[in-house]
Amino acid sequence: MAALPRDLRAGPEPDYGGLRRLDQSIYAESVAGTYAVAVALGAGLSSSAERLRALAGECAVDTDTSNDSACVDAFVERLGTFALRRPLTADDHTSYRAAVQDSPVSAADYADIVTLLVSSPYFLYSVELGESQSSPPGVVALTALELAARLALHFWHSAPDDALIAAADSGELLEPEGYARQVERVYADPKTERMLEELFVDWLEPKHLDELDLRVGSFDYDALRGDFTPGPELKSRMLRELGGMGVYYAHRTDGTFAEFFESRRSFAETRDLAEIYGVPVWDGESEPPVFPDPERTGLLTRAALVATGHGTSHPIFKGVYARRTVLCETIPPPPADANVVAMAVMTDNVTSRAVTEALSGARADCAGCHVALINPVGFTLEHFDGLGRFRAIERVYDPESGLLLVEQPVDSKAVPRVLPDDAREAQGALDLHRFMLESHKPQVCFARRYFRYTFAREEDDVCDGCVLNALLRPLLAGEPLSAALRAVALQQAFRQRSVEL
Amino acid sequence: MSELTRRRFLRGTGGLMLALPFLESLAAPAAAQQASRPKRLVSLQSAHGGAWAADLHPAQATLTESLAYAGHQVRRGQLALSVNNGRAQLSKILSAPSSQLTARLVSKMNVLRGLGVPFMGFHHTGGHLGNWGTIQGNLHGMHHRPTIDTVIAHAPGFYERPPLLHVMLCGADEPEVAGSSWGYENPRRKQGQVVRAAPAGSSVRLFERVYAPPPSAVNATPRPRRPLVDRVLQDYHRLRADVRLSQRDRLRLDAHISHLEELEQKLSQPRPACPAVEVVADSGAARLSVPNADELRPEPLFPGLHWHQYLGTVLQVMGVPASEYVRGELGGYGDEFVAPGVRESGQYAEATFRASGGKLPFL
Repeated sequence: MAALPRDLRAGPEPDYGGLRRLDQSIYAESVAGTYAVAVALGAGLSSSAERLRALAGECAVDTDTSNDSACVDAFVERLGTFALRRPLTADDHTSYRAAVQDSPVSAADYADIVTLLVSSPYFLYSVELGESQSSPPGVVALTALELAARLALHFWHSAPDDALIAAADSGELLEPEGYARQVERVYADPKTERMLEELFVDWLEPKHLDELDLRVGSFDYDALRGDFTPGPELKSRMLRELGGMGVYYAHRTDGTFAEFFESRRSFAETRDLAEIYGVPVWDGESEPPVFPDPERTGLLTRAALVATGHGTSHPIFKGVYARRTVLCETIPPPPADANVVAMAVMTDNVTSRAVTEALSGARADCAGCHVALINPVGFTLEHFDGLGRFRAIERVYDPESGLLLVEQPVDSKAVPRVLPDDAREAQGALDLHRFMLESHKPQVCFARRYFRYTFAREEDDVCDGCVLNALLRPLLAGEPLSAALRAVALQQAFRQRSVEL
Repeated sequence: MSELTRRRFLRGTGGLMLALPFLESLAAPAAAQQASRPKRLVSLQSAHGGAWAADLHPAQATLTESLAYAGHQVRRGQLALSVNNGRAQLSKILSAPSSQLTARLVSKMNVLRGLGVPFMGFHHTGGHLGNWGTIQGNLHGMHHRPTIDTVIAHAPGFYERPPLLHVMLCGADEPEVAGSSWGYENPRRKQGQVVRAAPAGSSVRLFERVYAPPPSAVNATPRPRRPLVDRVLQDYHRLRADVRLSQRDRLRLDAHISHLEELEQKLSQPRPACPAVEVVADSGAARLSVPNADELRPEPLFPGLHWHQYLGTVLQVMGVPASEYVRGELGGYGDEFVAPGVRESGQYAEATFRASGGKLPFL
């Protein structure tokens, strides 16, 4: 699998809510890689009599050559139906069968069949041709098997299971009630949790978060961390918590988007992360512990989203992240020479907030975005240090010696202007999340991300309006997240595809 | 015109250099194709002004001939290799132990310069190579265009067929995210979307692409078999013939088919016998160790250790024997250099490679 290029986060702004599923690029490396994997898979599955028997049955390893042809036919049919997610046509059968040389059939022949099927476009791509009749014009209904495949891909990132295939074969999947039953069953399956976990981590992963152990050994970071020594796994555990949190609210409970967004529960399943939160380790099953600090309220106060891995708290990064990733806003790029000016006013002996204000106010062309949009959001999250721990007091240490330079109470008050005309002052994270929810921006943003993730393409506000609205309405109405996600699959638009006229 | 600050200038002039082994490929493409050895196209870029052009390129004085072409004076000259205290160099950055950077190797190299776009570059995400659609913010809504490295890689004037390996070594902040190389999904037919080329991702993967097929694909094969790519191709053509496919789907299939045809061509060529190659997981023994960013910022920006790691990779790509080396995927400047720690998924993806048998197969 190492031969395959990794999917890259893609989307309008890959660093802010970019999703790996949106990377649909076709590279030479991906084509060569999938072929190499197919060859290796075929060879590996047929590399011993034992494996070959498990793969194709006793007839593939016995000494009787008279049954070879029937054995190959059965194998092509069985594996082909599974790989192509539909019964094979006569043309299919002939095509994949043709790889086999004359009798006696060898292990390498079976390997070739595996290679061909795993390299097939019908396996690698989601081929949806639809029913032959088009009504209304420009739209065709998916066949039952195509619908089964789409449903499995949507919620599981995998092939349909036997029950879905059976529902397709029996016609149940094309009946409204039968289809709804299958949507419920598929969503309830544990495989859906894997999809949700990946979705939430992809969406929320902050680009600015360094490895938490990277600066261990530097004076100011060591002074900040005290007795807590972050390990190399801490960052990934923080990210995993985001996924676990999403799964908890969207799958394991009937949580609403607001409950998810304003959550005060810890999903830390390791001791180091739980120590940062000051809570017991969550066992993954019982009710998650509640944060002891009232300021730790809401998604943006998760360790992954407030930690920096530095001695400083970086309010600018957090402000940009929140606006772009969670509110789906566009922020113009900084002037090309912003850093040159910024360095000139940097100082180490004041708080993060004071440094940020000095940097942003140094030039008029910076202040426009920073003062009004970026910094205030970051300031409301100032109650957390570079490791993501709650702090009432900010302590600034000398990078050269680790000596304490400044000690000041945290000021997290700011006017975040979630909506341009909203001039309310937020006292901190709690207010910030409330203002955001009231603006509906996070709900709309999540709906767009979910659409992109599950459909592996960017949304079209006109053509995909029905699906987006079906998703957004329950989110805004306070219905369970799970209901909103299932609602997408229940849309008529989900069961059809458009065609060129 | 706004003031041209030093940093903007550096960003705009961030170097792009293409090393094209086989000089004859420029003069006589057909003859070059007759050479039995695989051809390599290696693109290097320095990000964010991380290296001065004067350090990156051979001296201007070596450009002794000129030719008028398309309204420009194109200059060329013989590469001049100097050796001092066991170190050979074409430029400060194109420098390596003289046992590796030999006159024989240099005689097969072309170093092209002046291919980057020296204006509207901003951050190096591809705009400086001609894809202005990647300019940060892209406020003018410009479409993506292929970058110069992919244009050359698929230009029949250079290669009748695409080079067997086209590697972009970029110094972007995060190669995984900010890869600068862009090209058509179907570069041979110049069709499909313009997408970011797959970055090497990790040094291990790059090394395997150069020297060895994926181990699982080799070791598990019980006996030599005829490649099945032709049959796979038939399968794709079979689907493509379905009239119900959309135009967009057909273009994607065409891209896949084009890459399959390229793969078939590669697999049909005799593969050089490769000595046993051992890929050693990051041992930590040869990690980059950069003390702090401040030492890197003073001008002239250093052309030292990091760039030699680059060149080490290039030399390996070109087939210079080596017993062991490290490479780093380099960041640009500033904070990225602060940390001595190494992460496979980060900017300093590293590994230690050891090629047994001394001489590697591509010379």
